Amino acid sequence: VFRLDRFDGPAEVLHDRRFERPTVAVPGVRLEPWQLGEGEATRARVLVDAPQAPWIVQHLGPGAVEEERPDGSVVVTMTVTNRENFRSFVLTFLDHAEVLAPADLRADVVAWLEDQVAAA
Amino acid sequence: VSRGQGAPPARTSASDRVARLLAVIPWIAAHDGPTLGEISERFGVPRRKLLEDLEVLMMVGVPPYTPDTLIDVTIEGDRVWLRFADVFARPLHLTPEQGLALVVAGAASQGLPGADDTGPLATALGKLAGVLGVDPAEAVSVTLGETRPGVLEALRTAVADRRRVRIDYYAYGRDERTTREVDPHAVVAHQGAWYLRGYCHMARDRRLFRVDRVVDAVVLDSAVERGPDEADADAAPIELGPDVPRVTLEVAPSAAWVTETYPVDEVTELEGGWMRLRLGVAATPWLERLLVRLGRDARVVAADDPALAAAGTSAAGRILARYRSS
Repeated sequence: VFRLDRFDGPAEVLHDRRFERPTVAVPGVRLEPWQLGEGEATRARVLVDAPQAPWIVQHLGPGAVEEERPDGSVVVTMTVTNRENFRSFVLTFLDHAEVLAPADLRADVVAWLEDQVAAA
Repeated sequence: VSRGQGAPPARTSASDRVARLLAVIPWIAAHDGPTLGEISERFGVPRRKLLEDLEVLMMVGVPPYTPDTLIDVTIEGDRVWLRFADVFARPLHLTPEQGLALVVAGAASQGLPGADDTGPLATALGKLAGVLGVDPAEAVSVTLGETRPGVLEALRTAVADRRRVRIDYYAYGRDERTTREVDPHAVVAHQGAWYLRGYCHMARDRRLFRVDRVVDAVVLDSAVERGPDEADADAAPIELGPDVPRVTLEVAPSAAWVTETYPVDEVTELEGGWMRLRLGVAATPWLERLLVRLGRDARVVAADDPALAAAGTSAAGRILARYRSS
């Protein structure tokens, strides 16, 4: 954090330098469980069925909705830095939600479930 | 060790311990080496638990957690001395928001029965409120949980006007969305969320609804008549009755949060930090969620209903089928 009154001169915008804004904790901002981690930030796409769609939209905010499908289901995006908490959250929807992307997060959920079925 | 009826609590939750430490720390610091016996007696804490607390206290401090930033606990013989790290001696600098939060919390405590209107808390609140330019008795608007536009207002109107309300509700426990008519009794706040208390005509019983799961609410013309005993009934917590089927789980140490999150009838500590717990299951999807989230960190060892014993595996198979079909 830089105090603007301590800038000695004007700030220059460097148009040839681009960056990705990091996912960091900001005081006063509520962080979701899947953001409580030091892992590399991944943008996940999750399909949620119509009956549960209003709740997820309300919870994440309309800005998280990437797609509204004709059947009422929605595709939401979530920035994930804690994969375990993300998996746990998605599984609370049981078979009414599905991780669409990225492939490794989807595979993580599938492997977790396969392990549980195999253990029975 | 059991936590059943009449038995003492078997385990100490993290919140219990924090609450106890917050009371014990200033008292020890303000006295010149009280004995373990005196502290145990004053706070009603067994000596063994007190020593465990003091061990935790030695690791309390602020970053970078070097020795000079940790609380210093000295136990000599039977006496305890406590010295705050230097950082605690610095004047406390609060932002206006932090100060206001402190005034609100303090004013709420002052509202409890038995609070001393002229005690140290009241005096400190008065000084802090003076600096902030607020009146501690002023009402403060607190925003709890997100609710859909118009829903909270409709429910409050229905309560105030004593009119029945039709709600479109997602029942998380049962994993189903239903439309039901409710005689609303009150809209209450609990642990950061709004709830509607009322008589549900679909369930034919009193129910508690989380307002953030109400998709839509329509106030109807039907008037609500309340019997004289209903206010008393509302004041009582809604608990899982004895008719609700029970399940016994064994959970890994990493799943200890379950015992602090859900009402459990009984907890037994096992080897390796595992715990056996017995809890009621009002709706199967609730147990399915819990089990698929815990994976191998939980196993069902007994269930009143055989279907509950297979709930986790069944749900995992169902979810897998969805992934494999797409």
